[in-house]
Amino acid sequence: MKKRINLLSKKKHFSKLSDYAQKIKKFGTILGTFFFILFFVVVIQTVLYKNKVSDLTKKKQLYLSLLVDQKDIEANTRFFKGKLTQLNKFALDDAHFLPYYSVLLNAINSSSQSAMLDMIDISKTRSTTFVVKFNDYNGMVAFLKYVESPNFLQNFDDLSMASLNLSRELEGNSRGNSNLSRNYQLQFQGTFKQLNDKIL
Amino acid sequence: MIKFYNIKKLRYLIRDYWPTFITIIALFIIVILLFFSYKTYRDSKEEADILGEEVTLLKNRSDTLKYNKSLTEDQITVYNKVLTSLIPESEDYFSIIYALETISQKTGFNIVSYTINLSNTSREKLSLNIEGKGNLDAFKNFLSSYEFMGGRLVTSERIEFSGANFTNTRVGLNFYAKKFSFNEAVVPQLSKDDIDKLESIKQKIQISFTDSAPSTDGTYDTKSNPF
Repeated sequence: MKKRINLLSKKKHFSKLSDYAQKIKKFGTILGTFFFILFFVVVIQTVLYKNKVSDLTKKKQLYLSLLVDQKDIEANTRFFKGKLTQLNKFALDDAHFLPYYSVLLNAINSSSQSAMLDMIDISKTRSTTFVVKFNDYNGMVAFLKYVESPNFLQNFDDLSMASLNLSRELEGNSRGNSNLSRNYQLQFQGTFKQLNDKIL
Repeated sequence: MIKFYNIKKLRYLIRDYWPTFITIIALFIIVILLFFSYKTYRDSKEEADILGEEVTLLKNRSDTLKYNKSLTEDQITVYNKVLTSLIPESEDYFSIIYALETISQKTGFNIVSYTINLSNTSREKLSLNIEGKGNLDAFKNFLSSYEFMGGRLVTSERIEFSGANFTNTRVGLNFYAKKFSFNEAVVPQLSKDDIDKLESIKQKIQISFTDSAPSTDGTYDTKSNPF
């Protein structure tokens, strides 16, 4: 059998392969150079971060050793602040009755001689119900006038009269005579204005 | 014959295109290197970020403690005892009775009875309905000082009384107990207001802070003959 080399039939295939090889070399070199630069940058960044980690580890150890020395103070401080927060939170439950009660008492005493605070109910939301008792009609009228004055109303967000009761009682004296006494009761409902912002 | 032909073909291919093969291999190696170096970079960055946050927290803790040094360790220990007395870690019924007695004695507002208000009582709060007697001044004294005077934090959500002679005064009082848990990473900064507040509470209550009973010496003479 005679051996032949057919240069023409594979020429097209050969030149294609040669073109691809040239392209691979060209783009491979460009891409390789780009990747190498990227690799170099990444390595430098990694080294920088490694140095940073070692620096931070030293700092961490330093602060930890400082904190270990002060662990009692730290625990006490945390406890103090935590308990104080609890105290402030629980103190919000308080109605802070006294300033509201004093305001009401002063107002009643200054409005009429016969006015008497018979019942009072104040909640932590500052909503209130109170009953003022009178034994004479003029005293009641004087109080009603005072209640409508801005001087009294400045202490309330809202205030309304819920009821008016008139009761008659027979009172006996030492001579055996009996007098008919009248009692007037005014019931008010409303909400006090915030008088004290501070808890203490 | 076919195999020999293929090997020969490969040999020619390698001989003619070795720079191309080297380029491909080099590219492959550099991609692998880039992949691993990026992974190391990412890990290092992550580690540095975490450490950075930790160091910032530790620095804040340390700086806060430096600032809080205006308050001595003894002072803060006393304040903590005051706070623990006001809001104990667990409910202490004897201290409630003691607080009511103290308030009653010091204000002159005589607390004659108290009942537990179960509907308003929770794990942290014990609610009592008390009934008291006293004149206007005693009642005002009571209102101005019930919050801290007894050595326990006392609040009143609702106060109701009827009659000018204060014979039928009912007050709902709350006592609190709560366990403190360390749940904050940051050391809290103590403000002047905090310290002033505690100082003012401390003035209002009188608690003796004896740490513990004096320890007795464990050594004593032993007798060989008990009789």
